Amino acid sequence: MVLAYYGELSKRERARFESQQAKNPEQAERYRTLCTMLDTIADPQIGQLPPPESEDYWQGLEHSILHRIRQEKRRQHVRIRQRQSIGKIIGHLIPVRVALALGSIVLAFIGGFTLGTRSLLSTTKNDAGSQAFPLALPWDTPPPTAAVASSATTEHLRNFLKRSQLYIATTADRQLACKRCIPIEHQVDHRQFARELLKEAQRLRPMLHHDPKVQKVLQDVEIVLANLSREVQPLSQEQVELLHHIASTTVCEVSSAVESENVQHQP
Amino acid sequence: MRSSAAVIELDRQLVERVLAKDPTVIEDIVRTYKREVYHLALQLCRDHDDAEDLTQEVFIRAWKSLDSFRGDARLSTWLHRITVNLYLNIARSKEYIARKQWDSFDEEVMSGTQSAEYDPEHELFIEQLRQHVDEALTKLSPAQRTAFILRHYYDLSIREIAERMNNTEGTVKVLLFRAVRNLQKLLSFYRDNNAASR
Repeated sequence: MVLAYYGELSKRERARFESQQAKNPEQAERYRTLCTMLDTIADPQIGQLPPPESEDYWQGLEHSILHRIRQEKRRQHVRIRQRQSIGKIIGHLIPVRVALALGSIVLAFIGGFTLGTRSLLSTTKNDAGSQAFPLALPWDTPPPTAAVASSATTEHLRNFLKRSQLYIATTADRQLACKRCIPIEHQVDHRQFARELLKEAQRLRPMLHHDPKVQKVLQDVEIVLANLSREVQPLSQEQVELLHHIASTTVCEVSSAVESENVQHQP
Repeated sequence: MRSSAAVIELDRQLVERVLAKDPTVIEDIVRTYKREVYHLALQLCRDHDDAEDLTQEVFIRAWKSLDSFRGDARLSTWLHRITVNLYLNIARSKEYIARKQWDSFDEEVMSGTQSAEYDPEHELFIEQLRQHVDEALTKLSPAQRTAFILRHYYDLSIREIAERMNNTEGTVKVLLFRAVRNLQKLLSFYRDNNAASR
């Protein structure tokens, strides 16, 4: 019926619909009612809402539409400008960033290579120095990585403690006449040697802040070394015994502890 | 009033300017079609404020999409399609539905106070009928109302409505059928009154 009202039926469909209407008066009545209702609604006075008639209204509407379009245009221009400026910045940034990245890679490579070489040299030096009793170890070269730093520190500590032990023992044994120790006469200047060892101990201490036991021993060694570096008078019996005790017991213990720790850390 | 030939000619000239990427063409499009777009928007929204907002949105959308206009349809057809699509999109939003419910409540209260002001009996009857038809059309779903209005007031064929609504002809037929059936239900008391008066 709806399609019939709107004339959307084909000729054949229309003919069939009309014949049905003729046969069925109830359906015909329903169709008439529908047509009446739709005709009523079709009346522009009833079904359609009237638009404003005032010309001012239309001018105002036109003005506000064009105003909004202009606003949109401005926003679009701003967005385009922003995009262009960002593009420019990125355009400028790309070569700078590439250059920086390449520079960093080259620097890192050179730095790594230099540090690696120096670390290797210092380790070789240390190994040699441990036998020849060097006055001080090169400590100013930072290790390249934390693991290497830890192992280098341990190595340095062990090396230092051995030399300190030897020095203290020989110094103390001058009076105690210990046959195991190297006679003091073999050392050129024991006070200068003590001072160098003291400096080394002072440089070494901040590196061992994580281990209070080792720090304590180092502190003791530092005190003895400080005494030896200044003491012109012969040591008292108590001092000699303390020094020998440190040299033969505590330092040995710490050395072996450090050594075993080092072994555990190594894979 | 311009004749339909003049309107078609004007439309053709505007299409040519759009295709030639004339930056000032949008102003003439607004000037030419604002009433037509507003009228359709008003019949769909059944509210002047909403129709005004929709009209503005239609022209902004049209301006943004001018580059995609290929010129294979009339500008008025294209604008109708934008209006219908935008209206259906807006009408689906929850905010719009909630606001419409509130407005209808407000109108019911207002209509109760205003109806007594109309003096002549016929005018009162027409006004009441208009309000009831308006109310009935407002109660249709947005898609049903769109199909009905385009068919009933704009005299578009089922195929043309389907094109404007981005739907199939079958869907439009169903929408139209349901719209008419719902209107029959909503306006049944007029039918009964008419029958009684006869």
